[in-house]
Amino acid sequence: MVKGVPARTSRSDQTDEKLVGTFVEGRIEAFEELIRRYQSKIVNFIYRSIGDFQRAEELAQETFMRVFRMGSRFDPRYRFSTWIYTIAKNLSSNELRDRSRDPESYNIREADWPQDSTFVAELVSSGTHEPHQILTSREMKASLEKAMSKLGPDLRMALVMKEFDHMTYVQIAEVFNTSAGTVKSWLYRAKRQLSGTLKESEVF
Amino acid sequence: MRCELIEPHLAAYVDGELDGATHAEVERHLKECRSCRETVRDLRLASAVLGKWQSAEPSQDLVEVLRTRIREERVRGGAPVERRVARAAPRRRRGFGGRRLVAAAAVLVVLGAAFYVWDWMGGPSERTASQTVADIGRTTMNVRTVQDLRQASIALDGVIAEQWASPEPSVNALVQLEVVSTMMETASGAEQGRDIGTILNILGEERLAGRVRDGVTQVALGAADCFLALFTMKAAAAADAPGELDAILDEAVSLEEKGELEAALGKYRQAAASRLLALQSLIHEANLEMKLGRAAEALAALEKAYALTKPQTFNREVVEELMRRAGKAMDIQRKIGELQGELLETENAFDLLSQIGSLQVKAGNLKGAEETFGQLVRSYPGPEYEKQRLRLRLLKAWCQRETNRYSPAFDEFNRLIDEAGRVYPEVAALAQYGRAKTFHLRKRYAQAIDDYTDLANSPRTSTTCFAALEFQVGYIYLMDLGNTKQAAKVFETLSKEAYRNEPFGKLAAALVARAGN
Repeated sequence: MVKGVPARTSRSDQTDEKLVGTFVEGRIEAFEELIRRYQSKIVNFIYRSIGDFQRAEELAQETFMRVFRMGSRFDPRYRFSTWIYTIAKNLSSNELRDRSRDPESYNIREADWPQDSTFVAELVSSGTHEPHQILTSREMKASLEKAMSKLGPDLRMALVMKEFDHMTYVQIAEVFNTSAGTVKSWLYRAKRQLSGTLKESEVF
Repeated sequence: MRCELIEPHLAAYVDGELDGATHAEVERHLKECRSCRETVRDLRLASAVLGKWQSAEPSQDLVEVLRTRIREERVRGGAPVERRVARAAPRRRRGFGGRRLVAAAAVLVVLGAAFYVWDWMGGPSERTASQTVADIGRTTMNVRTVQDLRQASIALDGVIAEQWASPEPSVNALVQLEVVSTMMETASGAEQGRDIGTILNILGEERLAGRVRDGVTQVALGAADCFLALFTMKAAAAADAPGELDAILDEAVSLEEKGELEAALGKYRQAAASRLLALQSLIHEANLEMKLGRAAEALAALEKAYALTKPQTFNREVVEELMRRAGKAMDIQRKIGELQGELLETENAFDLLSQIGSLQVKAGNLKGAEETFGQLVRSYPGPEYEKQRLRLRLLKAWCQRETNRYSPAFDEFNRLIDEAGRVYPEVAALAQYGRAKTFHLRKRYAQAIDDYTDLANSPRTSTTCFAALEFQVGYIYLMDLGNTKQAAKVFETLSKEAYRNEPFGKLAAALVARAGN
């Protein structure tokens, strides 16, 4: 056995909901297991929602702290993932709200984004229309971030939940406390708008 | 079928979220319609492009980071707060209306305070000062009349002062205590008679509908009774009081607000000559004497006030409570006298002087405490006192604000936000809270909202404290700015799932439900 690496325990087979119950009883290892399961998902969810990785890491920490503090109030009949995404979503909305109030203090000025012309030039020189080949460069990612930033907060977060976290419409609706029908129309609008913006910058 | 009817289903079609029948119908349409086929292609491309946006790994393992944070919280009994750069955002929208919401808010203030303490007593994260707070909780739960409310409010002021002066002040604890205190003040100040009729109507409906648990309804009905009593009294007083003396009292209050305390005291004494205003003026006078560290004079004024009350009348219990405090303050003063004697014989008097300052705060002698803290800051310049000095400067500024000298307090809060940031983040956070409250008291709502929001969103503010601060923001929109739309937004956010179990989340949900009716 490799030194310092703990042996796998049966804990990793437990459901998320069961783990909440265990850490509420005072077993901190159960909480740590939940962090391991969700940290990457939550950091990336927040990052794609707000477009700022460093801040996303801070907010992910806060998300887990809230889980920790409010664990005793979690109702195990509900899905843990819905709950944690609700918290992360609320923190992201607050962040976006603050940014819209005072964009100057955040690093999202137009000038910071790569110019479309660079992007198009790269696209042309790459000689391909296969998105997975194009979007490997940092600039491409920045263009995508920029296109995402043009969507409204709810549309954007719902889209991230669908595309990256592979949540169903019903799960997304639970997080937003709304109906699956609403989510359906959000996602339609989000994807239309996104493809429109990407077309303008000639991604496809 | 026509494209407009099909289009809304297309994203769900691509995502495989349609039921069999709709899916088949969309497929049929797509075979015939080129434009919708193109839309589907665009939607698929959008997903494909997004799919290439790779995930990034967190720069540090959150398990480690959070382990440390949890340990810290457990040691401190509350989450530490890190200062974040204050942002000034230009904004302000004004609007009036929503009287119903205002009225509901006034009633819910009482309910909210009760809910709050109830929850907090059993809450997981805030155990500091819990015993005292539990006492307040019991008092608040028994609030039946405005004098109960005032009594609870006076006791709460004492706890707040002690928390500020404690060696390890916690912003999470303080914010919550102060928000409740603000709400209590608004509730007990509801005698202006605004919307009394509406309040009673709402409560009448409540009684019929039986929607609220019995205990809570009792509290609300009790509050309504006293709102009504106060309203009647105020009307009677207005009809009776000689205008001239009324003006003197107003003048005294405004002098006090300007921080001209001695001049204000003179005016209160003058106003006490009026039969109708005597009681009110004497209570003001006593409060001011306490702040100036003259507990004996305060007690003398209160004894006069007591003589004017009758058993079971409106103000007797309030006066009694104040007399108890003045008595306690005199005991503390004796203790301070003894400590001052010891000072002469001690070489390093830092600890002794700090103790004296805290006792002065406890006795309500804010003027004296301010001098003590000032002296400490001046006399102990060494680097070993750096952290302590920051805390003492904070306390000094707080004393200044509490005695209505806003400008020096404001300047010091500002400096502390910058200087304490790294060395003593809790003090920086408290300074920001101090500044927010100063803005609030000076009716500079935009800046107050900015500071409150900033503090609320600081990553290390506890959830309960976050909800309290956001609630405060909603409350300003509602009560001070009359912007019901913005207030509703804040309350709606707070009533959602993440905060549903927070005391202020509950209160927000109740407000939203009322407004919806």
